[in-house]
Amino acid sequence: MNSETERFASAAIANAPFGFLIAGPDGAVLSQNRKSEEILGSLIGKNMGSIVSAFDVAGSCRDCLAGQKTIEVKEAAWNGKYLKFFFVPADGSACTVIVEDITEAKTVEKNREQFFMVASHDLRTPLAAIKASAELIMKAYSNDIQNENAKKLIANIDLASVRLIKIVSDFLEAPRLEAGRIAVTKERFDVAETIRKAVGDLAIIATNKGISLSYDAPRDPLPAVFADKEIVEQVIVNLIGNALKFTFQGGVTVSSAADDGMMRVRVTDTGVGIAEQDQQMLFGKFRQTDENFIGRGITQGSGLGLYISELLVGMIGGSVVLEKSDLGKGSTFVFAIPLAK
Amino acid sequence: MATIFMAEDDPLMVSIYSQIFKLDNFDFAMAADGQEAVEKLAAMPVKPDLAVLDVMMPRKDGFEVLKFMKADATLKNIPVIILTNLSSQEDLKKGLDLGADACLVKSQNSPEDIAAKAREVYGKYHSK
Repeated sequence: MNSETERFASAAIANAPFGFLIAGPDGAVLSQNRKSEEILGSLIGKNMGSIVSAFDVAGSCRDCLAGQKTIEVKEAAWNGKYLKFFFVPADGSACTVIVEDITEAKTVEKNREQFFMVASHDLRTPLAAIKASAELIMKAYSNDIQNENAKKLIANIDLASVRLIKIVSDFLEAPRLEAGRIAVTKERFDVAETIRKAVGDLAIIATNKGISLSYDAPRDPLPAVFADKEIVEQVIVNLIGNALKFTFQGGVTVSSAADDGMMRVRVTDTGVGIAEQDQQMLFGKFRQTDENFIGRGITQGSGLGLYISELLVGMIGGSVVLEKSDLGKGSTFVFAIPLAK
Repeated sequence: MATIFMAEDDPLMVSIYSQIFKLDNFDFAMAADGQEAVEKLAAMPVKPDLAVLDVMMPRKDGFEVLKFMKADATLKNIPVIILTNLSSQEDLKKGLDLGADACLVKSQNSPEDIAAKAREVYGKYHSK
């Protein structure tokens, strides 16, 4: 490296978004950049091992230098933080230590685990009860039911519960879902058909509540979307389902329009609306660490479905947002789906 | 007729299990939380032949009920199945370490699977 390149390298290290230190074989710090000072405090002239007690710093330096290999410390809890370290051999007598503060990622991970624990219980239990009840009726009381249509309807309940349990199981594979590793099969399709089907399936709920549910379909055919059909169907059903749940007079209207490369499906209700302070929590990533809050608050409201919807929508390159909500007047959610090119 | 005692705080699931066990010709007794389980088990003149204990319950959890049973001379020989929501090895091991005959994760086992395990555990004890 010429002197100019060296100067650039030094500046880059000084301003790097990760902690960078140079330490001797016993862990004595010879140099450190700004970020490392932010994370660990000022360490120049001190032994890193005497400050960071979460693991054997001197041992890591020694192993790094003796083996001339990179030593990774994936996670060290220290001073209320979670840190990740790399010890990289610089030359025979000093090693470079790269440190990253992973506290936020750990918090998200912990909250995710809590969320899935709650979801696992709250969703699976009633589903298991539905399935077991339908199976018990078919197994033990089938002869008591004379009407063939009634038998078919019970079989439908069983089939639907199996399908729901499958969907829930897919959701609960949290790491795969959040890492975007679930199988997403994108195809071209007409979202109007999906909306009509969802409206048809959920019409019974509206009828039973004495409210309206309609699809304000455009006259001209809509351009095709390019997305995973099951995900789109699931999110639309969830949005309409939520709207119906919180609407007690008037009704729910679904509309669709294409603009700016996206198909926007609007679900508007004349329901109870969402208070401004609660709007912040709707799509929250469950950052709250109080388990009781999550258990009693979110899963009984609309947070769970919307959280899942947001995760799913992210996988198809779409978005779901609360466009507006007035307490006592109703809400409008917009689900944007990429159009086919 | 043999009796199965169940401690479970979800009335929906209690209703399901009572139907399943009654179809299997078991008598069915239940408690809606851990404290009630301890009180009922202690008061029963004829002790049950098998206990199924949910872990997550108000007042006392299933592990505490299990500990109570194992410390009571009249209850300690009753076979116990623990039902947990968590699939952590730690939780499953805790149940077995405390003397449960089986620990099942609810989300991985349907009520029918759990009833089958109950029949199996009861059968083992009954044939002894």
